[in-house]
Amino acid sequence: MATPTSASPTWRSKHPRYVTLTLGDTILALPQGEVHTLESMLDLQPDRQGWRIGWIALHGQRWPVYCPAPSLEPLASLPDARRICVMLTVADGLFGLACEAVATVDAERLETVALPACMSTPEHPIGALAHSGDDLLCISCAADLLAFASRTLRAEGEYGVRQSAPLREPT
Amino acid sequence: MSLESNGWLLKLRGQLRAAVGLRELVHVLPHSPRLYPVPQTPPHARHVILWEGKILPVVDLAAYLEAGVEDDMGTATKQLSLDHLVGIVAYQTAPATEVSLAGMLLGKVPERIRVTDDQACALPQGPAGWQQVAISCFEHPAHGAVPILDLPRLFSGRLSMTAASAAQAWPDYELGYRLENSAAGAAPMAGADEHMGPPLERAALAAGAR
Repeated sequence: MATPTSASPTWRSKHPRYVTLTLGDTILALPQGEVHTLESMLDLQPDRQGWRIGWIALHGQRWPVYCPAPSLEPLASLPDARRICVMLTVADGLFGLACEAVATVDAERLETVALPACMSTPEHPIGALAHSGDDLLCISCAADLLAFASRTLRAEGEYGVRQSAPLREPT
Repeated sequence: MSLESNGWLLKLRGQLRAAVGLRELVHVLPHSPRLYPVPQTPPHARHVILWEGKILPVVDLAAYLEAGVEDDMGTATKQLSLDHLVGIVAYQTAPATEVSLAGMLLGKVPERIRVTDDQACALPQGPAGWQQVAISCFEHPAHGAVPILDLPRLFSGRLSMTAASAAQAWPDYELGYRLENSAAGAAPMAGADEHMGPPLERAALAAGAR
């Protein structure tokens, strides 16, 4: 069977385990190595602006937290079910994603396929798909998700995450 | 002499109909198979399906064709009924390449058809998106002009995001595309007659010529 080849190289690199983040109907799978810590949303310092819903303080600094909808676009309000904040590592520091559930899955158990050509768009945040049992996993990485958020903000006439402020801010 | 081709008449959601070659439809999943949404995808290709252990994209051709008519591009997905069908289709992007599989949302079980050269006709005036996804067209005695789908193009990612934005003129194809000119090696739909009709006499405007 033909295998699509349009995925970014990010997901192709070897990742022994993925962490799955449940966002309603969407389950994101990110390399486990990109997960810094899991935090409680009770620790969130609310401060909504653009995609950001607030901050989480770690290591003497505070880091932005986002709450994407299943479509990956920002939610207008924080659902009660989003009780876990997954802090992710990117080159500039950390950022958090509010999600409903977190789990891990062995990469060996997953057969990944690139996002089909008819579904893909330039710089799509999802690089590949996989299924684990009855669940569909959308494989991405922290940098691609952050880049997607920045592009969306720019398209809406706002500043991107990196352009508006450095990720870290003193607490 | 007018020669016959075999194919399938697909009833899409709404009142739209299209046709594919006999060997291009390999299976039909009735009983509303589970569709998995994928974020940030075009309105006509929002879902995938798990079939035989594989992840296949599912195209809602009606959503693509009607996109310019609907106010909200998200409407297409919201309109998915609880009794949808998915047809599994096979196609090749080029000769001698591997066969790819994909899904199409259907409104009813497909119907076997036989088509002759004499039935060749122009594409329907609307929706405009037919020009993007059809390679030919024939006159069905009951349903009027029925476009024959260019499956490689439909699933290639080369479609514009909406049919409305694809308003540029498209050549008027004759029926020279054989309905049997389907994905080599693809198994016919379970229970289907494997008879391959005689080739059409006209010079083929094959999909690969585009």
